[in-house]
Amino acid sequence: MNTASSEQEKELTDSEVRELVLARLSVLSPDTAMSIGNEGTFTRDDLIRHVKDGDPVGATIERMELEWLRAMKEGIVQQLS
Amino acid sequence: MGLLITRPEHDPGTRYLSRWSEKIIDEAVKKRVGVVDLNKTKAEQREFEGRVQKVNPKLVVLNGHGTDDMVMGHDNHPVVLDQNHALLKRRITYAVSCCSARVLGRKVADEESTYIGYVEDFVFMYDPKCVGKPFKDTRAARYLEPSNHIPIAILKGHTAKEASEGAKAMLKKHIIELLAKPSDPDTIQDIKTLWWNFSHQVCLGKEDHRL
Repeated sequence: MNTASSEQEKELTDSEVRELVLARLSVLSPDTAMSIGNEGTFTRDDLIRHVKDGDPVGATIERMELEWLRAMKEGIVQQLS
Repeated sequence: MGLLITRPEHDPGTRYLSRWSEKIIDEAVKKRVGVVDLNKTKAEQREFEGRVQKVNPKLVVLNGHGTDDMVMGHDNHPVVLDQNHALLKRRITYAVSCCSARVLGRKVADEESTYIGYVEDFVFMYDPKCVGKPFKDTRAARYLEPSNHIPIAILKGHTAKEASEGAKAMLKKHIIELLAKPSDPDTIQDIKTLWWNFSHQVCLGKEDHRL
């Protein structure tokens, strides 16, 4: 995660976002577990599969990535600090 | 003045929320606030409706899966939905439930009623090795302590808005702490997930509402 990546956000296509999310998920520790409210609980490999499938769980993970990129672009790190 | 809390436990997510909610109940007991604890199969619509009408709790905490217009209980049976949402009027409700602040919360909230909840999925990371002992899960604690802060601060006499903003301050503190750490992938994922909950938590209706 760096400033350069957030600056590139506006140029990311849907497939590029998906590739970025998959790349980031793939380096999480294998025992990562995430509870996504109504959708259930997921391991790292589950999350990767859902993003690849482009289903609602995958879409939530992609939106989470995009919202953080937007926040970074808007200078959230400086605002929080 | 009383607390009614629903604690379904039918999957890892609801089990974590239920166990962490014990801290809310402990605080209510400490403050001598009466508690109606709808745990497991008691977290269902008829039990909820009957106990709200009988006990008239000022604070309602709803754990469970949700949709835009519904909060569910054990085994995902509805607990609060359009047809009984008026039972939450003139109370402070905190729904640890996905998306329910979008529609249900807006129906409940008014000048006499408060609804604190989420307009998106409530998400948390946890350590699968801690499923049997969730209080030892320091990763999940970053999410669930701020969530618990909301009802606990209200039980301590703070307004709904103060409680909601206090929880956001805790989330922000965790984000700042993690940003200062070496950015390993798990830490970055936690930052994004904490930010997600921070961004989507809302306090609707009567903000200066207190017990």
